[in-house]
Amino acid sequence: MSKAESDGQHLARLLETELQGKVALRRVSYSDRELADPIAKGRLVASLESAKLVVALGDESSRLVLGEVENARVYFVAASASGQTLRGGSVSCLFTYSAEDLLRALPEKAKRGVLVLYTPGYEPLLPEIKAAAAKAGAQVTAKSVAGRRQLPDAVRDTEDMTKAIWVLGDPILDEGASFEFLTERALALGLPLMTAAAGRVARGAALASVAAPESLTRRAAQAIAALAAGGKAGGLALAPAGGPIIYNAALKDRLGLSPRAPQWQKAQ
Amino acid sequence: MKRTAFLAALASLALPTLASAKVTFTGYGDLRYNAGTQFTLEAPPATLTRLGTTGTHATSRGFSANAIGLFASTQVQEDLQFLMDVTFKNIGSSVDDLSLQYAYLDWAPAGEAHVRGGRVTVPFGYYNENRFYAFQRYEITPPIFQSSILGLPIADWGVSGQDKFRFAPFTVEASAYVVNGYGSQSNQPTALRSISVLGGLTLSRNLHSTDNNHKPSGGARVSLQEIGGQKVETGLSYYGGWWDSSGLEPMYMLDYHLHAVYKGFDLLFETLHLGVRGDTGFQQSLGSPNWTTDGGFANLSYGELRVKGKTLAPYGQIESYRTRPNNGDSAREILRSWSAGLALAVSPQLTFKGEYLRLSYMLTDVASAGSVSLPADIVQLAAVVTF
Repeated sequence: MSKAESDGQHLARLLETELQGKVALRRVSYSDRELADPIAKGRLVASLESAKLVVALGDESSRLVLGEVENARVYFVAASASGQTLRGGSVSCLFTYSAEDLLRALPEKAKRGVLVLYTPGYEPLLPEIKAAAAKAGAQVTAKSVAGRRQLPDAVRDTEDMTKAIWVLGDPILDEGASFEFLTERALALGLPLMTAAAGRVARGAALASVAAPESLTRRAAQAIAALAAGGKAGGLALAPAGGPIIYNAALKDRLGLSPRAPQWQKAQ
Repeated sequence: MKRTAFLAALASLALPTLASAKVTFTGYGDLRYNAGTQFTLEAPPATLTRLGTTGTHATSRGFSANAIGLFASTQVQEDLQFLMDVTFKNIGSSVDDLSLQYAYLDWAPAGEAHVRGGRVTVPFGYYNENRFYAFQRYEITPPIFQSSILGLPIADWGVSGQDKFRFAPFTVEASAYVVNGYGSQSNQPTALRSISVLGGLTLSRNLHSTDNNHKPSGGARVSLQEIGGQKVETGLSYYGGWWDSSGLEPMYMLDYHLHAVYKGFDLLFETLHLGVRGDTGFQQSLGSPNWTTDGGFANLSYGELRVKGKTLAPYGQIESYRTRPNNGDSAREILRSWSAGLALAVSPQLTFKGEYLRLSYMLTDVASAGSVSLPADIVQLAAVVTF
């Protein structure tokens, strides 16, 4: 079983425990093989579409739901991406990373100019990020990027003031050619690149944060219970502080990172 | 590599349900290139005359769409789905065959139990439910006796039930069903199998389901799965019913299957015993209206070979079936085939295949005192896409 699978199972168990007796959950699991089988995939998507609320745990499930589910309400937990691809009656998302943890992990000089890049749809996160910046003693500048083509200019326009770059996880910015551009640019300028998905750290980013499963599922359970009672889940939210920081050991000295055990963990 | 992630679907009275169930469509295409088919039909003149055909040596080559299927799935309520498959088959310049492969309500009352009603895929053997579609298997050509003569998928109007019982060293899956059953040819009410149905030699689509009489057919299957925690499954299946319009002539089938996956090797072995009484259609060829077919097939593939990150699966398949009259005479119909090929999965949705197949068919026709021989060599390429 991969780490993603075991993490997903662990989150599912914690969530079921938190909601036991309060909300009836039905666990749905699937494999790559089933997704490649159009019969099995059709049955899976049909069952999700009819659910009153779909809770997607982790990036793998989030990608499936983002790609296939159109009408059901969706609550993403421990996802690293959200944004304008979400449609329909959804959507709420509890991201897997903590703004406060990430900003505190930066070297002091990097805190003085954090460029936050985001795509339309991520605006609701900005107040939480600014509040976390105030707590961490950081200064952030948020810049909306409409798409991949606008990314280079968005970075170059603010290079003079930028001491760190933080990408809020939309796949448009956080994957493929965009991610390669950001890692190269950050490396060339000697800036830490903070990313939403821990997996990106091994591929060139400097830092990522992962929520502690217990506090994450506690917050998710509160939101799900609120939804079950007919209330609103609160749009997009970041994970509570206190989880691990994933760092790129190869960039530690160059960027002046100061890993602190046990919270800091090397990217695998 | 298996990857699992978890979702949870919330069932709560507090949230409103959608006004109508959404239908999810998926599908597949099985596109073929016949790179070269050569077959020879040989028989004495009297036999050819009786069967309404002529001897021939033919070759063919060309592109076609073997099948394009559309699957529809909808969740009617939390424990009830409606599922349907409409498949366009043998598509050349026109569609030769439009089939409703299955269309049924699937009720999951508790645990792993399922009750299905409608046109259901009959739980018989392993291949029928797990390898019928081109995207479920590596080989291009399914076992010829099962697919062409018995007719895959074995699906019929009726009801089936299935459940799993988990024990420490294995899981038992039990299925039972009641369906309309196999029936006689539409223009020959006392013929179940006949190789001259349409006034010419007809080998394929020889058996088919039809609501022919007042007696339903039924059967069951019991399988041992995950034996010792390994991917090993073995099972026995039974089908029984009355095929003729009077409901007096029986037909039954017994099937044994073994499926094992070990270190990338995938082995499927399936045997069939088919017994029929009162078949005047095949009587003329076999010399008796009561006959039995015995045979089986084996399929072996290896799925762990990687070429530039893509799975390249070599495979081989053999089959042999003999049909004999119940009067003690030796087998009069012998069907054998073997095939070998490669399947390249370039993505989860697209697989390319190449295959060579050798078919050998022989029928001793008692009525004309002659034998029909049909050897064939077939080279095919295929592209199977799912969406």
